[in-house]
Amino acid sequence: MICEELKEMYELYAMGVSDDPERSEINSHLAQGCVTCTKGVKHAFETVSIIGTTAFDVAPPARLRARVMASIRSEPAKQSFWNLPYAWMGLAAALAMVALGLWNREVGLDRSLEEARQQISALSQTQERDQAAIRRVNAALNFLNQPETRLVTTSGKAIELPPKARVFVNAKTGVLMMAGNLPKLGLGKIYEMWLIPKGGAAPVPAGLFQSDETGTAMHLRPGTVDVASTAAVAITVEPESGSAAPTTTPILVMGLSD
Amino acid sequence: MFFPILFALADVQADREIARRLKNREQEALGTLHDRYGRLAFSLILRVVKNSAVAEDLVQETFLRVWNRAQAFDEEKGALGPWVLTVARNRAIDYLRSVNGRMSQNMYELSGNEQQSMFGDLEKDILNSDRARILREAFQKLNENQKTVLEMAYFEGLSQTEMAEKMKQPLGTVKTWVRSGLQALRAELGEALMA
Repeated sequence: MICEELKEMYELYAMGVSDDPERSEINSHLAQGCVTCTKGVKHAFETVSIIGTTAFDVAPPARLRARVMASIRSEPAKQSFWNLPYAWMGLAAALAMVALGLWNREVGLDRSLEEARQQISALSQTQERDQAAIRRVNAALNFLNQPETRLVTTSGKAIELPPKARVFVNAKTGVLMMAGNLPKLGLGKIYEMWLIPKGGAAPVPAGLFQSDETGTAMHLRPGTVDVASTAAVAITVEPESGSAAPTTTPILVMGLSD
Repeated sequence: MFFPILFALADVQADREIARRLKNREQEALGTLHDRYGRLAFSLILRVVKNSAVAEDLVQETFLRVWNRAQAFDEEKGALGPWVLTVARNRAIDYLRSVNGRMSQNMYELSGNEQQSMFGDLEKDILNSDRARILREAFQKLNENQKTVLEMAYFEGLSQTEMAEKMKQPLGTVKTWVRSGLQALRAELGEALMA
């Protein structure tokens, strides 16, 4: 295919959702160093990046920064090189090594290094994906295995296929809700979980979630829960960005005293 | 109704400095990067996965991935914001596909589009540029079908074939909506962006 036929597909290619044969053709053009396609795909990356900024602006919870930082804390903190003992002697030795390296450099060395780098990158990606999956499963299992976790059941009031949910509460680690028969939501809508305090105080937001195509959903609100002062857990349908207070009648209310 | 994300004004020089510090394995640089792009990444991922707890997990994975790959980033050529955004979107789409049991033929391609070379020579402050503003406004002007298919491509990672199945529309119709939507965006941006 010629570049003119492919240019309509640059953005989909940049999103990683182009179909064959166009995808293979663009890959081939890029591999051959095609100037037109390379330039077009880079422009497409700009466009695609900007589309990403049309998402609703939602502030992340303040704890997220600490979580991000904790994920790399296992590495020893980087010290300034020049504060290390013998840094200058090390530098001199390093320069000597570099000079020697340049002297002995061969064409094949670059290729070997690149292959090794690609293998390390592939292994690293696999490891990250596995670790993420293990983290999620472990979090759910740890939650269920703790003695303080208890089961709360209830059902809604609809006559046919009523929504149902089970709620697990752990005062130390959070609330886990597993629901079924949830109605399909329209565009721009989302489910929001609430903790309803005793004594008529305002419901506390406990996170947004969507059901899958079968109407089932699982949602964990991590963190401590004051079980003694919480009357119920409720689910409402809210605008996609979530609400600070419920704007619709709950489709499910699960009393913690059950 | 959409509200375009308002960024803290990105300072190109500051981005370059953050990238340099990341390559130097300075942990606080990751915190600075999160301060600058964490909200954007969270908003994007939440839009894809629609679950705040999962979005938190995936933001964490995003920044860990950026940390692990910072060595390959050329701060003189690369645009840090679009790179972080691409990594964030890929994490979210990967999650969506794993939950839906949808093992896509495009999985390799998604990782491939994080290659830093793809972000070389991009306008460094593209996310805050006039062109970004024009494109965001143009996006809101698309008709519902055009907007829906482009959002399904970007925020759900669906190919045109998958969109046609999901929307129960002929593939040709979906392709027309995609093509006309992209043409409308290009027309609004004009030759300045696409030339």
